[in-house]
Amino acid sequence: MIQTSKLITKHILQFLLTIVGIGFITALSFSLFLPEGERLSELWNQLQIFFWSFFYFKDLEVIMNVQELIYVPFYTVLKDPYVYSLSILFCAFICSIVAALLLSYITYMSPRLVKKIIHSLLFFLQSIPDVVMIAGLQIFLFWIFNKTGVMIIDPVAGLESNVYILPIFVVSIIPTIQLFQMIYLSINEEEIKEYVEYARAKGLSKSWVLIRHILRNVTITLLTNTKLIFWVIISNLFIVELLLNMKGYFSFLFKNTNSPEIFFMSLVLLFIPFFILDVIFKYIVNRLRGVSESV
Amino acid sequence: MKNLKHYLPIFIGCFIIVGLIAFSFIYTYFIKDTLKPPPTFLYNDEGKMIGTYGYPPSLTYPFGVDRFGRDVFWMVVDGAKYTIAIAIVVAFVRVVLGIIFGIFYGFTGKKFETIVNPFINAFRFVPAVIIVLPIFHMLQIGIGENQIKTITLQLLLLSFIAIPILTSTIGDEVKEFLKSDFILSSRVIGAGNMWLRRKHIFPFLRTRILLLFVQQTIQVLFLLTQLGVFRLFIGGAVTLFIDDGDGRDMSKANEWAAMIGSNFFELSIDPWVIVGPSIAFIVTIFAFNLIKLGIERAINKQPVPTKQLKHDSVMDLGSLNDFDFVNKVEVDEKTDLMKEEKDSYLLSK
Repeated sequence: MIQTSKLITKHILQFLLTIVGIGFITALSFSLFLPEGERLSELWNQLQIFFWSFFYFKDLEVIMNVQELIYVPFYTVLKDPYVYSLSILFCAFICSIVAALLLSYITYMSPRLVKKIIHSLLFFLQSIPDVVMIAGLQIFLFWIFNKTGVMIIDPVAGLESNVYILPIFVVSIIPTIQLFQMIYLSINEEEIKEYVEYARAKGLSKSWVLIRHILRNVTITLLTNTKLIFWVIISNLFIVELLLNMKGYFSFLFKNTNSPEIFFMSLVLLFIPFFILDVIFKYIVNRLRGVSESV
Repeated sequence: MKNLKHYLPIFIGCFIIVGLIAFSFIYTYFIKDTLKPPPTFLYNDEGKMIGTYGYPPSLTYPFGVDRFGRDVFWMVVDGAKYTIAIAIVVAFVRVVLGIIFGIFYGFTGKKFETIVNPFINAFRFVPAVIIVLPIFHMLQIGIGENQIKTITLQLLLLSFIAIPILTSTIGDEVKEFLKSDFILSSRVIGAGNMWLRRKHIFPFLRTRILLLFVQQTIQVLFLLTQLGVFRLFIGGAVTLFIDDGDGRDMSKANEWAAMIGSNFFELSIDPWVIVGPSIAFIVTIFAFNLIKLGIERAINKQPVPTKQLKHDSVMDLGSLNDFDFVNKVEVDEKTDLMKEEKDSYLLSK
């Protein structure tokens, strides 16, 4: 009992401190280029505003129309884009994990030549920045449209409709590559261990050993590196939303770069689900490892 | 010479990067003045006018011509030195500061870690573009008054953004390294922290510095492309006007990221304006990736030559009696051989 309560306190403390960290970063970025002498006081002011905005969450307002100065409550504006973007984020996350696992399974089972080809292909794909990748995809889709007249996926989202397939696809390409490399590397590390040799010697098939034994150990590597993957997915979606003209969370963020407290609140809201996932993954990793988490 | 194949990726990568920069400088100092601007109108064989600015790629204009009558290929060449220089300078500052802070962070205790880690986590969670965004906006307003100062600030910002994460990664490695037995024994003998830093940790990190540097360069290039999309250009923007009076921000320095970002909505009209700098980006990042691969290989394979030496010294023992010295006859020969091999190894290195 004491263990769990200590653990919960630890997580809550971490959560609060990270929020303070986010607040500090935002406040710093907004007050850094003020005239000398105002900086520190402005920084302190911003931090105070951030603190109180938790208690007056319902009263936070966003300018909808700059000319007519129409203000709208923050949470009503943010809700739809937030849900939309988060669903894309998590779909992309799951997609990239599934794709990476499938890819590494295929690579593991295939002959050496195919392995080599896949490796060099991925090595090349790694060098393509996400922006270029999205641009290339769009050009490709336009080209298909020009040649055949078939609009496979509408590359630029309409004003009303929410597109899902294209952004999920685009966002999950780069994480898939990174995840695949991670998984494949740790599969290779596991492969030379004795238990695999023993299982193979007993006559178990290659794919059985991979799925039943190796993957279980690979999951640990996978889950401990999720933070990096989240980071990649978030920064990718940020770009994708702008380029595809999507009405998501990040384009909302981009529009509100001049009001610090909205910026901060949005970041905190984005942070919460990821923090929860992070804690859950840590718990699973510790269960898999058979160690209780140190306090 | 055996190692030549082994270092091939580094050679190719360096060749591409150095070649790009050199070509870019040659362009500015020698080729630029000899080039004629593309003609305002294009005529076909019959003398009929077939088009104006915004020519698609052709033999004379490998990457096409943009809407303002500028040859994209030479713009890309011109931008090479700026883009690569920005990436290298920022990566250099990042690595130097990251290592200095990381070495000190490695010595801090667990209490300090629990307080500082969440702050660093915040950096791990919020993408660098988002943090940079508001600051760059502010900078963009004040631009033009003092350009050199603004560029320095922008570059410093791009460097500082990565330092918390870099510090914690290096610091964690140092912490892991400090657990080794020989550190404990040298502490027992009486080594202080400063001594440990100088004699053990710095040599340990030295092999990693180059790798970190290349990794950071690649990351900066990625970050630059993302910033370009948000029209945040390093070195400020120039507004160019098309005839219908609608202005468009362009980077002054023909920097690639800015070229992609400012032309992004041309995608459906004349995509070649983006394709040129994109290809340049891919080639550059690919070259840096090759260098990275080469360095990783070199780090992993360092102990190989010593192993070979040992392997060579196993001999046929059939002709010996019991209790004979194994190397009695060949001892001199052997030392010569080893010396030779060592020389050749050093040479090839």
